[in-house]
Amino acid sequence: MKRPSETPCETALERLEAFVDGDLAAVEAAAVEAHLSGCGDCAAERALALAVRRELRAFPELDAPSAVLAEISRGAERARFRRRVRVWQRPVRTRAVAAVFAALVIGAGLWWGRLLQAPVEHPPLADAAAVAQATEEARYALAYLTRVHRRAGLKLRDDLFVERVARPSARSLARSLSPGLRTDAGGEGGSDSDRS
Amino acid sequence: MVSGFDAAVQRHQRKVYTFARYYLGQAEEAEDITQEVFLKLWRHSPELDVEATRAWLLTVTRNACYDRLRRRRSSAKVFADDPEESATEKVSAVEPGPEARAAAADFRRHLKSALKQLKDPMKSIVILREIQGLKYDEIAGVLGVPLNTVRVYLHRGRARLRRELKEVYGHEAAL
Repeated sequence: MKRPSETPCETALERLEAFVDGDLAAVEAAAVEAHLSGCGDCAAERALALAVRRELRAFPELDAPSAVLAEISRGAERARFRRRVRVWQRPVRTRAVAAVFAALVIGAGLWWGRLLQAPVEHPPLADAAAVAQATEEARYALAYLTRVHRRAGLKLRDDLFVERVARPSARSLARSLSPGLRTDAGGEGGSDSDRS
Repeated sequence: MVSGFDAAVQRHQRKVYTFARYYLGQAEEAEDITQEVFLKLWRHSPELDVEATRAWLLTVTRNACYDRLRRRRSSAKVFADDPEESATEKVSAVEPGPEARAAAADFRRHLKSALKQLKDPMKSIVILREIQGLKYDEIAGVLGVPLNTVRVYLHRGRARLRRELKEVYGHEAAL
């Protein structure tokens, strides 16, 4: 865009390269063309601009010397060889660090695997109240047996009976009914009351 | 792997070397840069697809040339010392008479010298567009600048070259 202070020559020269390249809009190009046709200095500038562009485009593209290309090929071969050697000749410290790291990774993997395989808490097959009731019934049955034995003239020591028969049976019963429950929970509740 | 790499070198060496040569104005340094750039390509070749290789190479070449030029600012060599200079002149000289040929060669020498003095990104854009014939959008991709920036800097760069030559020749050179 033309600035207010610009002379027509400045405006034309400002746009000259774009004009030469055909990058101006039609209206702007026509204005520049009109100025160039009436201004010798600016027309000479256009001729110089065209000469510069023409000569630049006449500069040839150049091939790299064959010795350079051969050196590039050799350099690539050397780099490939060095890369292979580096893989096998890594410093001992690097390899040691790699080994420790690998061991840590494997160890962590095994530990995690064991965690995953740890027994899960199954829901109890029977609740604590049912276990306690069953235990009481068993004790009652055993006490009844004891009484029958006494009547029959046999003498059984209650404490021995409770300790060696009633309590282990109650424990076993509780364990089999509920693997998640503590085995001694049901055994202690009625130990004294069993004595008749 | 290496055979594919060799094919890529054959395919792109001219673009890389030409850019470095005109950017630096020095055959020896352009050769160094060409080697450096292709060895970088060798290291990165698994990551690059064939289509992107040329743009990648030109970007790397331009950056390498820019760094090289920055490092050797103090020791400016003259383009005329370039041993391939005369060969280049012969290829592009089409004028019949010896005087006209000499004048044209002189013009091109000054033009190359002026091109070497241009600042980036004007210099890169002028080389990529006018000498290497890349399209605006390709140049924008190589340099990572907007399309309109390419156009503006191209015009600005050529205008600067024109001014430099005008100082030497006036308007006569174009006639």
